[in-house]
Amino acid sequence: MEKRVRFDSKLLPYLLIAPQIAITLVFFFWPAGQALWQSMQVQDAFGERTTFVWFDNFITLFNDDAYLESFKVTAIFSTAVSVLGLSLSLFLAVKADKVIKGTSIYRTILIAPYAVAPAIVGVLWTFLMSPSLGLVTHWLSLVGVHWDHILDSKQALGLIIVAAVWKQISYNFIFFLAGLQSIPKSLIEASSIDGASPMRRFWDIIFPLLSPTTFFLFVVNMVYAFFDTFAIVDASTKGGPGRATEILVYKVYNEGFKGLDLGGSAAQSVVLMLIVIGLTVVQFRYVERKVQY
Amino acid sequence: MAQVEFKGVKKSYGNVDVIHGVDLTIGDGEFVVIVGPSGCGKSTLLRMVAGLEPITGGEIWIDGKVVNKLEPKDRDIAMVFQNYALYPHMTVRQNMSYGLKIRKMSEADISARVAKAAEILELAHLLDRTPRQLSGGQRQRVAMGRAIVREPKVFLFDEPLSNLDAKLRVDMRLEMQKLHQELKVTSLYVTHDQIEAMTLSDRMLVMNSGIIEQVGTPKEVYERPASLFVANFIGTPAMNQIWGVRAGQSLKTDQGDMFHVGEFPSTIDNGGRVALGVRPEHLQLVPEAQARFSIAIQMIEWVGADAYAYGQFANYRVICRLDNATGARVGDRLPLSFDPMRVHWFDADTGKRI
Repeated sequence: MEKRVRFDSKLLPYLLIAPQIAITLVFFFWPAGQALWQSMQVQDAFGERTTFVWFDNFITLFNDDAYLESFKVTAIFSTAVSVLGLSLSLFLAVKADKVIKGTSIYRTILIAPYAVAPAIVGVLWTFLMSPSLGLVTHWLSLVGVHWDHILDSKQALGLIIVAAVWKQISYNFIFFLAGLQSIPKSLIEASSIDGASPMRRFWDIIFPLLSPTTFFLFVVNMVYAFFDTFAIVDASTKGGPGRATEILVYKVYNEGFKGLDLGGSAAQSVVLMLIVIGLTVVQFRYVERKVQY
Repeated sequence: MAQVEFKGVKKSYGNVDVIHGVDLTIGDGEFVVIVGPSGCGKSTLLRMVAGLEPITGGEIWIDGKVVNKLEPKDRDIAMVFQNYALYPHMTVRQNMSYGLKIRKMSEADISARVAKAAEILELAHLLDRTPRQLSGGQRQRVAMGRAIVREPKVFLFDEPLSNLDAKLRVDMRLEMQKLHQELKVTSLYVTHDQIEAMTLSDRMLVMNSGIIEQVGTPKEVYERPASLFVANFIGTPAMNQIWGVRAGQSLKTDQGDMFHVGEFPSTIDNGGRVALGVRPEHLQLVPEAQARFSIAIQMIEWVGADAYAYGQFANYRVICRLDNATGARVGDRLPLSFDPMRVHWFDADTGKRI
């Protein structure tokens, strides 16, 4: 049921939401407006002259092979992070749901990575998989895999995927576990009487009932892979080797702050902004379609 | 169809025993209701038959086979859950056919069986809806349908009607009766509702804290309760109880009041402590001179056809059924008597019937 509060004064409600509005204006609308404005400008290398060029920056952008390549890298990266992250955390949640003794210990351990800052995650995995002294590199060499993400572009992408997945598993895990626990036990019992094997039970009953959670997490993970993985990339591969791990958000930083192409970088961030708006719309539109039981 | 046998069935969680040895044979096609207060172990017993709870002692036999170690799916049973446990993402048709599909039955056979069950339960027009589009009563029917299509040896019902409102519950109760007469499948039904137990069962089993207090037809259980617990649990309002010692042909209550009883069972010695039980409908309003004892009416409950007068004798609450025409009012004195043949005697220590 909807609860409505009635105010006597017309001013008070506006006053109450003013702090939130102020924060949104200062930290979202202002920078977003700046980005929009800058995306239509070109500056010379020393910042002395600024010319308004309408959509030229965008045209240049989409004719740039490097930018399209970065799109491809981002697509591979975000899909891999979402799919791998979701399946691993679902697996862990299903297992953790069955544990009866010491549940809080297991859960705490599984949730811990979420508290680690992204930059630390990047550094951590760079060390673990360092070609010369990494622990994981050593294990990999034992099974005959030669790991060198500094030279091998595919392995570099692998490294940032592993690091990004590792950090996000905790978040997914919490949601999946909560989802699993909200499935009535009698449904599982009914399906076992119906004769479903544990595997079938999972795919026929549990997985469909988790689909709202899965969909929600998929969108969240896409957003995470697109935007929140900057620190991981910066702390590990810095977009290299070459441009093999230069995801969109990293490219914005690289070209804006290192290449000082403010106009082009702003145009890129406007594209990213449109993508995140799209994902948010998808999330609000479809996540509400929940299965009822 | 099959016979279900319990042989010394026990259940314990660690050191806590919740079911203390059940021996019972349920005949082919018989409808047995397990009734008892919450926490008495009735659901646990049913879930042990279903295979949802491990059996920690004794054996359960279904159709001449020990099923202790069998998985639920291999026991050839179907169960109806209290919350129906319908698969929310499947249509009614898919819900009903899921078990058959897993058993790799042919499409044609499945749709024939579903159609037949849907007809019996009047679900035919709902087959393509999902559970959330159904009312409580319809969901209940679908849950029954899912059990029926399997054509199992045994039906298990775990309080299937307790999520329905009062009127619907009465309707469904009648339908369940009809259905059982039609299908004649051995059924085990758990409830805390004594009316359901009395009306549905061929035989009922009254349980209390993991012990079977009595097994018998509803009539037997009502007319000859085996213990004080059963006497109290079955019948609304509950049976009147007066505790005291035998003093010749009279009963002397713990508070010192005496009244004439007449015949005592020969096993009650003079001075022996007993509980006398008499149902509200067996207390008769008599002229003052013939009264065994009398009560002052403290409260009257009108329940349509009858009325019940509540009063007190010695320290015991006494309830007496009144004819609606009596015109008795709160504060009136009711001189009461009873037929000595219609009273029940219980051992004061063990609570067992004498």
